[in-house]
Amino acid sequence: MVLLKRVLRSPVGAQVLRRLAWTVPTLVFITLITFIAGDLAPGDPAVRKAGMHGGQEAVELIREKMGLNRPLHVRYAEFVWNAAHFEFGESLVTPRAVNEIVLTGIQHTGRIALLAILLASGVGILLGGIAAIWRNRVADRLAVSFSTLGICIPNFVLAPVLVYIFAIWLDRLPVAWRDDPERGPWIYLILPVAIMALRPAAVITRLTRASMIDTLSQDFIRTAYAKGVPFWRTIIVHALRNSLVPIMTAVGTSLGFLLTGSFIIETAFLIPGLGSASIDAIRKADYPVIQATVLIFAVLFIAVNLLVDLLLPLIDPRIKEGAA
Amino acid sequence: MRGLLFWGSVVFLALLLLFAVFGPQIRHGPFEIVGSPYIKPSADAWLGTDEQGRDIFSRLAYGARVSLLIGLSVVTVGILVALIVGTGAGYGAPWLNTVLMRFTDGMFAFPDILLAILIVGIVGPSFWAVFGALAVIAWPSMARLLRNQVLSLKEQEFVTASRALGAGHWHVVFKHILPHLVGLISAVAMVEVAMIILAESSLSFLGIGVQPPTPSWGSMINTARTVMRSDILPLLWPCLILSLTILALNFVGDGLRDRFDPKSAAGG
Amino acid sequence: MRFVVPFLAFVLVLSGCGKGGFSKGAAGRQDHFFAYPMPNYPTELDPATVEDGDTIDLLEQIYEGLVQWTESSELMPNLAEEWEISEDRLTYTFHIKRGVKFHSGREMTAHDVKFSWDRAANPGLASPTVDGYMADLVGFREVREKVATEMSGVRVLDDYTLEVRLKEPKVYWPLYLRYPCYYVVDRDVVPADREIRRVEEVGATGPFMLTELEPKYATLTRFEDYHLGPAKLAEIRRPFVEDAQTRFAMYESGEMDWLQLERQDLRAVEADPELKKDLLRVPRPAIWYLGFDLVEYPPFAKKKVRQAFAMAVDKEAIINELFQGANELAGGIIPPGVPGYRPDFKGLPYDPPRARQLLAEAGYPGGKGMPPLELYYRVDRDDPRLVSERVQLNLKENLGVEVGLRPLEWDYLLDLRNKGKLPFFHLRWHADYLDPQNFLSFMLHTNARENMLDYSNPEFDRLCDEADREFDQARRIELYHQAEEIAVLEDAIWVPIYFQYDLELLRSEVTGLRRSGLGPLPHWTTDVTWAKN
Repeated sequence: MVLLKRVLRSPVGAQVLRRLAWTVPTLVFITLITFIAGDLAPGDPAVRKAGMHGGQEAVELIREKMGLNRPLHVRYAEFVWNAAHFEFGESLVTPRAVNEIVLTGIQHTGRIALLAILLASGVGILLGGIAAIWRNRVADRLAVSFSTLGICIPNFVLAPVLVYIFAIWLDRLPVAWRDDPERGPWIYLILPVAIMALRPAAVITRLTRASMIDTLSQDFIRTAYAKGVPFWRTIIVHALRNSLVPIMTAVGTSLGFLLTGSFIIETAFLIPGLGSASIDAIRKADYPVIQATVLIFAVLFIAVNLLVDLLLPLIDPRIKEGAA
Repeated sequence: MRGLLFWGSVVFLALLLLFAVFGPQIRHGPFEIVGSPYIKPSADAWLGTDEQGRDIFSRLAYGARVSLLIGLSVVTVGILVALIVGTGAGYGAPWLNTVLMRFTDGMFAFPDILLAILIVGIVGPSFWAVFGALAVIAWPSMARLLRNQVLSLKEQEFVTASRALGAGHWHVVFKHILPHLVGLISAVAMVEVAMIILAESSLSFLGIGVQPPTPSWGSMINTARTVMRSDILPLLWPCLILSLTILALNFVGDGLRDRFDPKSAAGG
Repeated sequence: MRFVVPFLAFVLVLSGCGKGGFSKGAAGRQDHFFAYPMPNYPTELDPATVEDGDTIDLLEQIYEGLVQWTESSELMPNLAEEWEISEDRLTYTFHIKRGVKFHSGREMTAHDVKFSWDRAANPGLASPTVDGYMADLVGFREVREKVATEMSGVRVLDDYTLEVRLKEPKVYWPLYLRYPCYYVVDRDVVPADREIRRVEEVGATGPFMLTELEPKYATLTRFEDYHLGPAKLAEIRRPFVEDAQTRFAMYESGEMDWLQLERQDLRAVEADPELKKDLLRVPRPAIWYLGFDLVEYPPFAKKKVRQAFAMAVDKEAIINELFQGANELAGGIIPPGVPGYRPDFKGLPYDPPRARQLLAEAGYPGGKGMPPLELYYRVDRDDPRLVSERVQLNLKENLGVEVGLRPLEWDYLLDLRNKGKLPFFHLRWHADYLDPQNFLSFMLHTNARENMLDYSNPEFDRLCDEADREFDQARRIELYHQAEEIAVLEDAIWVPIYFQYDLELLRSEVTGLRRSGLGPLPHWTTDVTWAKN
């Protein structure tokens, strides 16, 4: 209790707690939407589950077993309880547990998203920095056009065009994902990760450039430079560190893009991730899988945003509540 | 350079609009089978034919019609909702503000396209499902933006002055607040239209958007992908026109913002 | 312009090095390893319940029945060495081959055959196929109605003799023995009263054992004690690849040895001399058709609506333009390779004005007043999509009827079909055995298990019944032809679209791949050698 009081009294601590507390209604909102969506979905899950060979008895039995006869709020509570335990029941179509589908999905989607965000941060900070240092020069122009193109060209345009160039015309990269024990996964990830990274890289380039230009014009940089601190040291230690906050925000929001981008990229490259699993499920009207994937996406999304919000004050204690 | 891009984009969009209106009737209808599949561009089929032997030119034009129709109508609906909710929250009662902020928070917790996919997945794919799903995802961000704008306008001197002179709330909203939002709205609308067109084509690309035989750029890209080994042109046309459209809308949006809000021009 | 510069530079750097050869890059492969894809995950592992061609094709390497096809599509002994037929053609006595081993090592006897058949008939398994294939057996109905647990008409005389009695003399019944529900399973391994669901529950006598079933592939391993001698192939790998592009890429890279080519890849194959020499065109006893459900979509109960639809579809264009002549136009229902096939039977003509008139006479002039309709087809193959989209265009242009498209995953589609929930669909029927009965009485008779359309025409039924019992082959075919004409011309219950020819790519190094008229036979003689130059 004492600890709690101390935390609450410190402005950052209180802010963190409030931020944490706000995720609760958001989670309720999201679980409610996914639950209702699953319940509204046409077709009787028990009939579907009974499959092609099931008669009326089988349907009743499954209905009983799945607990579909119970009132809505009980089932909602159970849905949330099970989801919290990562338990989503069985797929209506394949004899596989939803967990299994979703778990392999998360591994693929997560790997691509992480690689892409790393690539995007590297490229974005580099290009943004270069653009800011040589403002209005050729390098800056190139960086700005790259970011404009990156934001505007849809990934599902880029995917087939790059596949054509690199896989069919040049024949250097694979057309689509597959398990290949001989070559390993990396060569299969080059195109998907590069395409995924493009848009976040473009956004990060933009923000890095803007904030670096801002920082570079500040007095303390001029002072540091005047004091004889070498140019590159000034840039890296002072300017970049001071630009970290907007860059972090961009990285955070980009992760959101990456999650949704996975629908397109995983479908285009046939990667068995969360995105393609949910598209498959929609085509099969496999509602438990749709619910599970949507829920996981949303929770990941919230978690990433939460993490960014919580990390920001650590990086820059100047941030006061509401300023973010 | 900026001016050139802006006006170039305006001209492109104007041409696109003409293309969308008249293109499908110029030579062949979008559903008409004009010859064998995958004819190369010719005097008859200007951009060649697709997998069913239909005229790609006409289908691109019809696709433009679909995209612009969905883009413009969804954004119009979105702006109307956003205006009501945004001004309500920014100008009206604090509780309304809280409710709106928390609700949009919840909406933001869903990545945009995910919510659209969920809605289409439940309702089943069709033009109206796509329209509805995109309208649902379009308004919250605009509502927030307008609310912030209204909040800052409310504190401006000309508003407080008008209030002090005894003007009613409706008068203030219509005379002082809304006119100041026009510039911002038009800039945001362009970018929003681009986003909606992108989302619509994404859904079509995934096979859960506008359904065949109605052409959509996204579904044209998706089906042309399967034959790119032997025929690349049917893939390139929709890729090109979609990318150019999105670029042009963004340039026009940027240009409008620069014009109405000179402060942001420097930012780049 | 300056946007393009970095991108072009990037491309040029890579293209400067010329072709990369990624697709040809697979390392040398082991001998006697054979890989070919399945477009989807197996729908079943149980021969008693399986019904779709792709999965049957997988299971036939594992399970076997009493008889087998020859390469000229005739029956030959397999697990049964020989059999006698009684005078009245009602009793069959099978002599079971001695020394046949299950994968578990136990010897197979007549008891196992009886167990397998009784098990397949068991209502607990709810097999969708046995009502069609086993109904002729004495005692089958009693088992289905849960009055008995075993079929009285199937008796074990001794370990190596099995007696089977039929209710009626049926000419085609021995052909049924080649259908999976008659295959022999290991009673010590398979669950007795429910479906086989896991790899460990698979027990059979075939040339290969199912050793792995992963989400993305299955592995079959040679059974060393196979009764015809061990296969030359050590292992068969079946990756499940839904996307046709990927399947093609996997063939190009050498990961696949055999491939069913999708039509749209034909142009690419013909342009590539390396691939072109692997190209084969193989007829299949299969018909792709449009089906109408008379109850799910009430307007289809009107004969004129169906005829109008049939006459509004431009089949010539489908064959010549979409398929570039690779498939054969189907006039009737009986495909090439099946007795009774008529190349000159053209079915209903393509006649849009007449079609419009018929639709108007049925009460829907210009398609007005018709409730919304959707055409169902499977999503994992490209040909059905091409045809369905063309049908949609034809119906819109020629009749003014708007039809939606519903591509569905194969298992979901099959499920809906078996429940008779498809109002309008484009599907394939592939011969289970090479007899016209399999396409007419079996599919469209009022009492046929496979008749999901609620189609019933007493005249059609009468002709089929008579033909099914007729032992004079010429007379029998004549009766089936009359029935076919009723179904296609008068009732238009099916719109035959095309008879399927598979385009295949098969490594030129592969020899000994056996086929019958029904497709690939178990690969126990396949001799795959990788003499890399």
